[in-house]
Amino acid sequence: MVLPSEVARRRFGTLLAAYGQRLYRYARNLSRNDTEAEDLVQETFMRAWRAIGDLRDERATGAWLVAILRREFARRYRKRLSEDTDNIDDWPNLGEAPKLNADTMALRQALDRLPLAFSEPLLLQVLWGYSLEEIAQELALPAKTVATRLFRARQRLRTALGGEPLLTVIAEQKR
Amino acid sequence: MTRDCQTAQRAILTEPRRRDAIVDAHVAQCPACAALRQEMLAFEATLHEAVSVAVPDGLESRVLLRQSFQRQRGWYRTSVAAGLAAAAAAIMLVALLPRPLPADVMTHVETYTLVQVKPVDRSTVEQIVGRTGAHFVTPLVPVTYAKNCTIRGETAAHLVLQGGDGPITVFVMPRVRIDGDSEFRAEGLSGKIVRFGNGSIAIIGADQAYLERVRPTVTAMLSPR
Repeated sequence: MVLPSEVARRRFGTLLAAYGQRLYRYARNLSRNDTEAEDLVQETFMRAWRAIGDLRDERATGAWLVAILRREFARRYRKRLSEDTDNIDDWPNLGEAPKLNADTMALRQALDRLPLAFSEPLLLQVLWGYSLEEIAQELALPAKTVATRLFRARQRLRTALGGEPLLTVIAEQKR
Repeated sequence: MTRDCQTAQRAILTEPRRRDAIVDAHVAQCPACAALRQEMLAFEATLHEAVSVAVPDGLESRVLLRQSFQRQRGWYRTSVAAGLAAAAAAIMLVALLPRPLPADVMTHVETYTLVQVKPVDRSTVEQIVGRTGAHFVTPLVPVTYAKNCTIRGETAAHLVLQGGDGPITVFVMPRVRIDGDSEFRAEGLSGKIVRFGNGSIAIIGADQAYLERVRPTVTAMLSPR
């Protein structure tokens, strides 16, 4: 559907203001690289602009943008993903100099080392507020698999912070 | 550990922020599960801080700038396309010639259809293809878009399949006859129209080599009945 140009421009501006920052954070955590993240966001919005007339349901806007970004990310990194899903430590990273406390910094580094199979559902949950069922639908995975991956992701991150594994914590509390 | 504890802990460990009446009721009377929830919520706060990376200054402005250039190009393309369409319409009026089949199918190809990632369930695809008089045999690759459309006055199925090297658009047209197989290129995409029973199938993708590779898969997924 072709929208009148003024309506399309206004809608695009609103979309950018509403989702630009969150989409960047999602892209940065997926790609683990500042430059790649901005490229991904730019490309996602350009694709969204070209198809903006097709957007019918405002409630689905976030999911629509996430789907476009995931697809673009997969397209760019398909080769690397198929070669090595679990180890992307050697991806280029321009880095940043944030003022964060030690725990947050350690957690961010642990996130960057987390295999995409675990970090992707976690990001959809933490950044986008997706439910277990919504993540399962987006990633085309069984809900049980998603639950396991979310649990393991948190397990690995907590361990990286020097925390006890979650199951040990439970056992300790029950004593 | 009781069964209620297991249920509550599973919920807390997979969705710490989610509130659920049953879990909340259990946590209210179980100190161990309450402690676990408290600890996980503190962890979630740190996690949220960790994923909330700084957004570079001027990101939105740079997106808007790029979009404005694209809009400009779009205007130019629209003007040229409008001019060409007008000229084509005039020629068609004079010559009373039907539009070529590749142009007909390309009017249905939109970006939106290509960026879908969720697979359409098999029964829906079977229904969509079934309406054309053809049969959907098996989903050898995921189908992420499936709708009916009208091409040359006949019901067709518009499918998007996810091949290894990008999306492939397929138009199943068992009632649209062709003289022979043909290839075309339009709007940056390559296409192939091949015989399918008494009718035809159009396969559209990035390039002819890719289409040639996926053609056996596409034809194996469909039957003209």
